Amino acid sequence: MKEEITAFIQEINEYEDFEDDTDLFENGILDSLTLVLLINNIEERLGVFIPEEVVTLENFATVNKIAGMVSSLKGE
Amino acid sequence: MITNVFQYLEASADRYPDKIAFADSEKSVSFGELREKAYAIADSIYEKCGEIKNEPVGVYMYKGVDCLIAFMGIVCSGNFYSPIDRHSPKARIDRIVDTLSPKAILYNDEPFEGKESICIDINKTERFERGYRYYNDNIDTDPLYVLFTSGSTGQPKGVTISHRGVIDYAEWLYDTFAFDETTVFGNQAPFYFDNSILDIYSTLRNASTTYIIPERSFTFHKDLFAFLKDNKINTIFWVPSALVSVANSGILDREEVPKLDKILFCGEVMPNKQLNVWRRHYKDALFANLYGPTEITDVCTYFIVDREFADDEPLPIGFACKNTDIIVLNDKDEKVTAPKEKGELCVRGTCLSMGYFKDYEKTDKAFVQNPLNKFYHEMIYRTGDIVEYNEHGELMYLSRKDFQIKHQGHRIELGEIDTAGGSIEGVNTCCALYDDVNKHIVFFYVSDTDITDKGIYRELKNRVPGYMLPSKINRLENMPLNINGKIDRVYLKELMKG
Repeated sequence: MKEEITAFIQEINEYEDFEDDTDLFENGILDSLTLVLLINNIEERLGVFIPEEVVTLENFATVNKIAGMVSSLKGE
Repeated sequence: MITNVFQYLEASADRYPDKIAFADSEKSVSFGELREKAYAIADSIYEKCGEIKNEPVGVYMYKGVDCLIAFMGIVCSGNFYSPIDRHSPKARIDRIVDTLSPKAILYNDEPFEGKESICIDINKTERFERGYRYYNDNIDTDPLYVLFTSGSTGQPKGVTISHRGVIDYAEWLYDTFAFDETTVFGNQAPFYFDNSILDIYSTLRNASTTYIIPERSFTFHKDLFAFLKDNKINTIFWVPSALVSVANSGILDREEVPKLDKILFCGEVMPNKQLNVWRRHYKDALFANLYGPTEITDVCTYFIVDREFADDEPLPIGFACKNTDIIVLNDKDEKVTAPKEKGELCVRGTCLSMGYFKDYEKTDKAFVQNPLNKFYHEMIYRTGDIVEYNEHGELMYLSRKDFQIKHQGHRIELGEIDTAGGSIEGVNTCCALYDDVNKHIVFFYVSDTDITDKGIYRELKNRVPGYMLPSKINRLENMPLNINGKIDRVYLKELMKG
């Protein structure tokens, strides 16, 4: 899951380097425009619906957190 | 007689001393407290700097209520303020401070390091009963603030605005939108961006209240809606990008929408596609499209959305504000009045800036004698925006005349990115362009070294704000040149299309 999330972010911004625990918003890797792209990617390509209530800073701060959230949404 | 914006604060503090004037997610300040704190800061400036008047004072803070307290303290002291964005890269901040040469820099947690300047902690100011007010002998043509915007040589330009410019604007806003003590603004604009002037000075003039929305909420719309509802915000003036992002997220369809009476926007083109989503959910709200560059005190034309527009139709920028005149000049400097004839939008009026701080050359290029007036000295500001009138006699924005672009609501001179890119070690020559189709910045460069695209990106990130970073970076063998020996932007645009 982490690899997929990392790949999606890398597609949105191919020039940024980040780790699984890098704060994506603190470091300007994601913002409000790119977050929408990331969510669309996750929904379309991983087949997971992301409900509005889980779109919080807490859930999207790092690759680890996004992966954890998506996994639990998939019931894994 | 109103000659100084501090009089707005004095009047509101007399009428509503305990009403909240400004609040962020951590603290709030009432009109009475704001006035008291401003007096104390003015006293401290006097204590530390002596009797100074009409001198620049910087404000080095993250966005919040403290910035506004600092602004008012500086105004009360008879001087003018300039916000220094702490999120900007150090090199840019240093260039701005260097141009500004502030007499003092106010801070709230971390003093400014660098240029020698008196630093004042606004939390450690003391009130002395001096029995007079420093700003009393200011006149309305004295400067109120300097805002730095992107400059094509890489040197940010300091737009200098007088009290009378802001008073003219605040009075027009009151006449047109009837803001009063029941108005609650939800502020989005950063304080280094002049859209914030509407929120700040309408609040002071009309004893309204402004809540500063945390920046993060514009990414997490659930938080945004909660913030608007919790604080009973009824009026917003946002950059179109923020409205577009909310419309695209679908939250307007999914959730109960916050109650808003007035929805205003300015700063870039507002697409009708997303505006129609908002209009569907706010049938009774007033929507207004405002237009204007920083150089004319935020806004010079406006359009109150009064009819249906198709998703692919452009929204007019409308008509001149009262006490402001718009002249459209063609390339022979003749006045254009017929529909569908293109020309540059030029502005005449009290709203005109006093020019660029310490830069007479750039000032003289943009602020010129009205070519239609052969009788007396009269300045107009040439915006560099190409417009035309439609069949209703409304102004329509078409494009920029030069290499300045609008991206995510920010005004960017592509030249500033060129300058930053050119300063990277290993870059021989470079050129930034805007891809109008994909709405992003593309950066071309030539290098003899083994620097990578990632390396370029990392270096640019240290030099320019995030909104100026390119989405695509392309390395070229040689930079294409045109017949005049200049970078061939037309050819590069073709390359960009692929």
